[in-house]
This record gives sequence, C-alpha cells and structure tokens, in this order.
Amino acid sequence: MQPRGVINTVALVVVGSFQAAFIVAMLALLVAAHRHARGNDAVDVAAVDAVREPLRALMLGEDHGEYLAVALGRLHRDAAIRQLLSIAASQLAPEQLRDLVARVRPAPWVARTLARGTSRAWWKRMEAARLLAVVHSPADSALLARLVCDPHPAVASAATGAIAGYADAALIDVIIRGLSNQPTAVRLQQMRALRSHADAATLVVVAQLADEGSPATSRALVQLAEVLGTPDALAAVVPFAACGDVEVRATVARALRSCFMPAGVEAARSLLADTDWRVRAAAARALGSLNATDTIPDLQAALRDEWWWVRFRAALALGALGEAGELALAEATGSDDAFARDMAIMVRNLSTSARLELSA
Amino acid sequence: MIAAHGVRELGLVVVHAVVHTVSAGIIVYMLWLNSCNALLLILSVPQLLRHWRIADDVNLRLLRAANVIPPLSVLVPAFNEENTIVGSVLSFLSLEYPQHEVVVVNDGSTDATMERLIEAYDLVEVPPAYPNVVPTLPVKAFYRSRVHPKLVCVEKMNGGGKGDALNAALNAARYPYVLAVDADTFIERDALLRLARPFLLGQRVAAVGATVRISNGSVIEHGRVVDAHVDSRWLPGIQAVEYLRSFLFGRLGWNRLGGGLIISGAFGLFKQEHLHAIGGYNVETVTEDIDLVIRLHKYLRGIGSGDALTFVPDPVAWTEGPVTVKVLGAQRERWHRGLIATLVEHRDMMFNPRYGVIGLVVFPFYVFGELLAPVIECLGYVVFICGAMIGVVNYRFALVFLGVSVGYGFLLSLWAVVLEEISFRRYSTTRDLLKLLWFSTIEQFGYRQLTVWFRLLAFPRYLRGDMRWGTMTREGPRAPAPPDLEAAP
Repeated sequence: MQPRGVINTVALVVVGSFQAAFIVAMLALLVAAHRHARGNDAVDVAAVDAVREPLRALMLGEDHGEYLAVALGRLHRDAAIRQLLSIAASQLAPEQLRDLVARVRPAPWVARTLARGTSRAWWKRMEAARLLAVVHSPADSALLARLVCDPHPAVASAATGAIAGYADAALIDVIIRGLSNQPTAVRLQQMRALRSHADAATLVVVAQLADEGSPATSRALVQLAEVLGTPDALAAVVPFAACGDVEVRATVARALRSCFMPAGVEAARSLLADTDWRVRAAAARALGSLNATDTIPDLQAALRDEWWWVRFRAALALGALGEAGELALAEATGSDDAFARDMAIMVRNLSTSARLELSA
Repeated sequence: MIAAHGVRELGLVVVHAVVHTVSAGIIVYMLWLNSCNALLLILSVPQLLRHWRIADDVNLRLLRAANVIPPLSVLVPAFNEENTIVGSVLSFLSLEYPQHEVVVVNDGSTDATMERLIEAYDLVEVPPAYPNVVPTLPVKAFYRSRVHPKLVCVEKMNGGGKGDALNAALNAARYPYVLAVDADTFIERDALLRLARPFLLGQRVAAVGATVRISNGSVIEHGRVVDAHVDSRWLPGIQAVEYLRSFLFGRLGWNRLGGGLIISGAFGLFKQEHLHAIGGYNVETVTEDIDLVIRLHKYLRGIGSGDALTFVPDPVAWTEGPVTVKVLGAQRERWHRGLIATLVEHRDMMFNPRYGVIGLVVFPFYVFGELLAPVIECLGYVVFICGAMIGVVNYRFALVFLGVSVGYGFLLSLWAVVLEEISFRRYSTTRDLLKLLWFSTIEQFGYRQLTVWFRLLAFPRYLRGDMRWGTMTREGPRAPAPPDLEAAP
C-alpha cells in the first residue's frame, strides 16, 4: 500500500469515527426525546384528569373556583398554564371565569409566570402575555402596556387578548400611539380589541387625527376610525381625502364606506377622480355602500375607466343603487365604450346573492 | 514485443491516473456536498425551534378569533378526478381559516369530474366576473355553488397542462393570496392558519412553502389524515424518510439563506399580484413549481421588493407516494427533467451577484448538488467497477469510503427523524419511530442507486426535448378500520 493511500484511509477512518460517535449521540437524543415527549403526554393526560372534577363543580355552580384553583396549583407550571388557557378559551361563562381568575391570581405559579413578562427571551414574555390575557387586573396595567407594544409580534398579539377585558385611558393612548409600528395582523387585532372601548378610543383618534402626523400614523388612525365605526371618528377622517399620500387616500376611500353623512359622500365622489386606480375603485365601492344615488353620473363615467377593478366596482355600486342604478346599468349595456358595455352586461347577469358576495 | 509491452504499461499508467483523478474529484465533491448539507442542518435548528415555540394551539386560536389575516383563494386543478374530487373539495372548503374560497378548475376531464361537482355542490353557471390577467386556453364555463358560497368552479379546455389550469384558477381567484394545491392532497384542518403565521409575525411575504408528507400507511377519513403512520412497505416507507429530510432541514436551512428554489406545487402560498406580474405559471414545463419560484426570485430582485419567500415547517399536507418502482421511476425522472430544463433556462442566475445569495449560493448548489449529483454518483460506480477490473482499486480505502458515505446518508436521515421527534411529532408511536430508523438504514442500499438511475434517465429525455408528464397511478387512501361491533354497547 502506498503512503498516500494510507493517509487517505486514515483520514476517512477519523471522519467515520466522528460520524459514528455523532450517530450514537443522535440515537441517544432520539430515545431521550421520545421518552420526554411520552412523559409530557402523560403529564397532560394527568392534568386533564386532575382538573376534570373541579371544573365540573365550577360549571355546575357547586363551587366558585377554589377547588379548581387548588387543582391547578398542584400541577406542573407548564401544564397548569395549558389547562387554564384551554379552560378560559372555551368552557366557562364570563362570571365563572371571573370567579376562577380571582382565586388563581394570587397563586405563586401565576406570579412566577407573569414575572417572565420582563424577560429578555421573547418566548418567556409570550408565555406571560398569554397568561395575562386571562388573569389580568387593573394592577397589571404597566405590564400590559409593555407587552402590547412588545417588539416581538407574537408577544404583542398574545397580550392583545387582555385589551377587550380591561383598558384605561392611558393604556388606550399607548396602544393607539403604537399602532403604526405594529405588523398589519397585530395592528388589526388591536384595533378590533379597541372596539370594546370605542368611546374612549374615539376621543384619542379624533385628537390624534387633528395633530400633524406621518403618513404611516395617519393611515393607522384612519384604519382605526373605520374599525371603530363611530360617527365622530369617521367624520374626523373626511379631511384626509385630500391628503398627499396615496396610501392614506386609499385607506380613507375604504373607510368612507361606513361614513353615512353628506361630507362622506362628497369625499368619496372626489376620490372617484383620484389619480390612483386603487383609490378610485375603493371610492366607487364606498358610493355603492352609501347608497349615494346622486353620484350615478360619476359612477357611469367610472364604467369607462382604464382599470378593470374600477369598472367592476363602479358597476357593482350602480347595481347596489336600486332602480336608478339598474337603469344606468341597462343604459350602459348599449354604450359605445366596449369596456363599459361588457362590464355592465356582466354585472347585470349576476344574481343578487352573487352581487352581494362580490361587493363584500 | 517490447514496444507492445511499453504501450500496455503506458496505457495502464494513464488508466491509473484517470481513476485516481476521478476518485479524488469524487471525494472532493462528496466532502463539498456533505459540508453543504451539514451547514443546512445547522441552520435549520434555530429556525425549527423558533417555529416550534410559537406553533401551538393558543396562538392559532387567537389568529382565528381575531380575523386579522389576509383572505386567500385555494386553487385546485383537477383532471379526471371523478372518484375523489367531491371529498377533496369538501376537505378544502372545511379548512379552518377566517376567509377563504376554493377555486376548482376542471381541466377538460374526460371522465365525470364536472358532473360530480355540479351534482354534489349544486353548481350553477354564471357569467365569469373576473379579469383575464394571465392568458389561458379558452374557459368553457364558470360556476358558483348554491350551497357553498366559498366554492367556484371553472371548466376549461384541456391541453395546457397543470400550469394552464392553475393560471385559469389564478384569474378567477379574488383574494390577495393564493394557495396552489393538488386535488389529491390531504391538508390538515388547521394548516392554513399555521401557514399564515408569517403575517402575524409581520413578515413581508411573497410566498410561503410548507411541509408535504407521505400519506401511505396513514388512516384517511373524509379527506383528512386522522391517524398518521409510516407505511411498512419499503418504497413508501423510505419516501416518508426522504420527505422528512427534504422538508425538515433542507428547506428550513435554505430559509436562513434567503429561501430555496422549490415551494411544493402540492402546497404553496403566493401573493397573487406577484404571480400576475410574472405572467402566472409556465405552461411549457413539467415542474411548474420550481420554475415559478425561480421567476419569482428574479422578479422580486428586479423590482427591489423586500417581500420574502419563506418556509414554515408545521403546516402539513399529505400526499400519496408511489408504491411501485415503475411509477416512482416515472415521477423522479420527470422531476429531474423539469429541474434540468428550468436550471438551464435560468442559467443567467448562476454565480450572478445581481441575485445575491440566490445567484451566488442557492442556484449553484442546485446545479452541482442536485442536477449533477446523479451523474457524479454514477461516475463513481463506473470508476469503481473499471478500477476493480484492472486491479487498481484499494479495497480497504473503498470499503472505508463506502462506510463513510452510507454513514453520512444515514446521519442526515437520522437528524431529520430527531428533528421530527423533538418538534412536531406527527408520527407519535414507538413503532413508527423504529420504522423510520429502519428505512433510514436501508435507503442507502438499493433505493438510493435506483433513484440515481431514474434521474440519469432524465438527461437523454431532456436532450430529446421530451416534455411529457407521464401518468401517475395511485392506490387510493386507506380507510379507517371498521368499528368493533363486539365492543359496542
């Protein structure tokens, strides 16, 4: 055998030895992971068994949660959290849940979990946020304000569950100021949660819309006004139809769908002549929702738009405007403009339910 | 005599040199490929842990309750699926998601697929209310269901392949995201919610890929896998390991490097406006999924978009793997032929810094590590046999080399099995775990060489310009066990 061959073989044997050691380690890890997982399954099954009877007692009114709180306290902390979240999500009436939370809140395992809300590890903060969404009280306001604005979206999203149950003016202000920095899904989730505090939120929205803000802030506030749907908030949105930022105008055009006031109709009419097709399409849709029959000539003109979506929304809007709108559509079927004619024919052939669904 | 002897000696020296050079090249190639796989493996771990920590039910419930994720359209191309289409569509309609629609395209089926759909879902023909953004073969009719408002059906002429059917569905889809699936795919009920996690995390997403697993051996009821198991037969069993390896660390690893080149055609979510912008699916390829992803990468680079192509490991779609060598061969040959065609077509991306990590790392890896892998492996076998015939093989070295190669293949599969066990645990029984280990071991002996051969066959067919799909026969899902009547009260 040549020396080079020996070296190659030795090198491969060394590599192979490392490989074999790694394989043995992997197999050991696999066995340990499998046993651990089965152990966890057993813990969960035992936890379900442990809370079954106390939960039944609480649901039947035989107990006010003391029994269940004690049972949860005896479980491993992770299992107790899982059980409490599961019970809170689906099995109890609001007053039963209040009773249970009052008993569980002072427990050491709850305090330990909520203390993780200031951890540097996001998954620990998320665990605290999830529990807080169930056991929150006015005393947790500072922690909640911190968690709903958490830089990790999963934490902010989990903490948002607590907003509907409790939010004071200061917390609402903090949430609304942070909206423009949140990812879209979390932003929408927080906006919907703020509907439970619509009056207080409206005051903040109106005040903040009156201030000069960045386009991102304005967009978030206009979107919130649409979600809240209160007349004051929607009225505060109307001036933004003349905003220089196209994204803000598009958001305004969408929000105007619920703005049942003359200023809202006028704003939507003006947006139908916008330079951006998305704004025009949204404005046409808004005019249909607002039942603005005096804008039929504008919508007829929009049937000739160069963009398919604007023509489509205009035709659907005409279809939503009752007899006068139907008449305008019928007239458009004989139009000299092929785009307007084809769109009118298509929408006229749709059933009422199809039109409703497509307008939604 | 002396001259002839000299020539023979010279010939042997040349053969020795060739065998040694090729052997050295193959060893270097193996080291490079294994290092790449090891890197992917390391990169996949933090990605997997990140998803695993967040992938529990509480978060999904929040998502569902909050109704804050974008609506999406499920695109279902169907060709001659009369036996399964009604159940498949029902399973797609009943997926948990705040707002979704199902767009079925009957791609000119010659059986009763359309009649079954009309009858089961009370379909009525309506005017097509959508713009034809992507050109397709003519659409014959457009239907809506009286019983399921979320269902629309498009009937079109056959001839453009799966890509054309998907394009017709893409035109009819009205939501901003579209999910392309195969009609015979079984999607887990909460998979769409899991797939939407990047939106919750605030990521700007152009496409999301998810895991596909082998359904053979599992119990399927009403289009759902209700009891997941690894098939005991060697062919589907090995494919179960192969799919785990490919999805759990392969694609997760690429995630960290800016996304891979493949999002499975059986289960992939895309932003509709991007698909419109690139002209939809390519109808002249047999692997429309890889072609689409490469064009999407190019397009996003071109417009300077920050939207990412990402992979989420826990949403699962189950698909039936081939159970005969013949069907497996046809499938693997087609996949490789499509890969060759697509990589050749987009060769301008190779080592092109304009495409960043995709051009400099990902694309070259697919060329050298995927496209050329069967050629190089086959060359290794040929050189070994030639070397053995002329007596230049160092058998001790060859044996150790074989051991290390086999060990490495086993190690990668084992790692995938470990990842599965510590994270999502779809196969929960000890018996399934043992089966996965067994198939990880025997995969190296026979199966691997078979797939090398099938992939090699793709080269001459590609050179002949053959772009046929071939047929994929399936044995159908395994029904649940009948109830135990004696145990009934």
